Amino acid sequence: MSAMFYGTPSIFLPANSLIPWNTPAANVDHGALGSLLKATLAESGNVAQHLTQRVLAYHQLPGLLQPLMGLLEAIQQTVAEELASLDTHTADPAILAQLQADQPAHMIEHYRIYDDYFQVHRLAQMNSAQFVGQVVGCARNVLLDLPYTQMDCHQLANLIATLTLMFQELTEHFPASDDIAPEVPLSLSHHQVAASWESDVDDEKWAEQLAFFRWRLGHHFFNLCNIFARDLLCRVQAHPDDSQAAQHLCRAGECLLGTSFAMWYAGNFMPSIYESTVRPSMVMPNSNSGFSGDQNLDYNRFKQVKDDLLDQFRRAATPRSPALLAALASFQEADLLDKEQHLVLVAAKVGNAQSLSQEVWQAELPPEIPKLSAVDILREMLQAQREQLIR
Amino acid sequence: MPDPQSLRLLPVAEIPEQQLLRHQTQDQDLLIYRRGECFHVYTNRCTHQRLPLSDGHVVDETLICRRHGAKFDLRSGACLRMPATRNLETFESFVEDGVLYIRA
Repeated sequence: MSAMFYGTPSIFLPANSLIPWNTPAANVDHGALGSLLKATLAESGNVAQHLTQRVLAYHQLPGLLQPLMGLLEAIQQTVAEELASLDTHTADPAILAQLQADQPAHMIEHYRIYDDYFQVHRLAQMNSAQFVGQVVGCARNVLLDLPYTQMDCHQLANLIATLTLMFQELTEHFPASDDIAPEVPLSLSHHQVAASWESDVDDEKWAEQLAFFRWRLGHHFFNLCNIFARDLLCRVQAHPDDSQAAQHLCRAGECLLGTSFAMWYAGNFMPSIYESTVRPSMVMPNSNSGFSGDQNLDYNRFKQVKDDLLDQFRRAATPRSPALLAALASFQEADLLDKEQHLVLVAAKVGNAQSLSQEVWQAELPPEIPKLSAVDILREMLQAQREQLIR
Repeated sequence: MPDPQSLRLLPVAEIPEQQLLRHQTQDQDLLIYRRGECFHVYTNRCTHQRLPLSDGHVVDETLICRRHGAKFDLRSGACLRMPATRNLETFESFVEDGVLYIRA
């Protein structure tokens, strides 16, 4: 039964990490898609509000999510033809060209290895409906699994809030028509997912399968957060004096914080499974070094834009509007909170040990130099970041 | 007499051989590396997480960031290894009357 849902999730993402807003799909009714996205945004907002304001027992979560699941399924049907065309995708040399356009040569192979591991398929060309399909597919899988996680109410609420923000962004680019979207039957329900837990839960292999499912799917969500955050930051960078720049910057901060909650979802399994199975699986081919989040293409591109934008703010000769300064404070706070969450997450998984990649490069150093743990370094980064805040 | 666009750093006699020297001016945090009469000046910031590089380690003409292991060529500032993806920010330097300057 577990094979029905807890398989190996994959995602298609643009090789340039840019949302293809201006590439419409030929075979999609964009007005109808806009209507569905609008309804999804409203429903996602309802769920987020419910999770923040009311007491909820875990067994009530599937019922709460049901209308949202129905809308996501309807969107998937609307873009189904466009998604089907992705199945015939083959490796495209243009992908390499897009990577080389803004990334150094020494990173290209690292990105490939990382994407292969997480089942991220890059596309040189992608239309907006296909991108919506990836967001919706990832959201649907996360929501189907969510009631079976052990995430706390704060994490659940923030995960849904991040999805809501993504739908907000999508809605603004897909004007709705007046069409009322028909209801569609769910192809997979929480009830069916629950069956996996009843039949396979005592099986050790099932526990590993579940861990890998969340590990990969959570990273897909993480990548989407970075893509949206980068898109928003690019708009601020291009038009810092635009009246909407403050709003874009605030939203980028929310997306950045969403990456933390994506990782809480990704790592929602026993530390013993991480230690015994997931961590060893991230040793790179032909090397004793491990993967690192620094091999994540979408994260690196987000970070590059973030660093450039913060430098732009530091060097700005003219004073910014109070709204933009408030948004900048909010963004920097989100950046700090994200690192704080990351520190706790790493400590929960590896304690005071070194990361896989640290173990390798620290071996190059003279023996008298003390070896730092992953958590030591994250604490230093936090401290330094506090000192660099732009006020 | 250096041109007015130049920034005076410090006498070369105060710059040790083949060691990392942090030098802070009013506006900038700099990293100086000397090899003989050759001087290299960088912004004292790893391009990976913007943390200081002055406590990094010099191994075979390369500079290794002590936090994440990013590696840079000490002669050019070129990024040689992940996790950094960008080269160090470099400054053109020159010596005049025994003093090291950079062009601002």
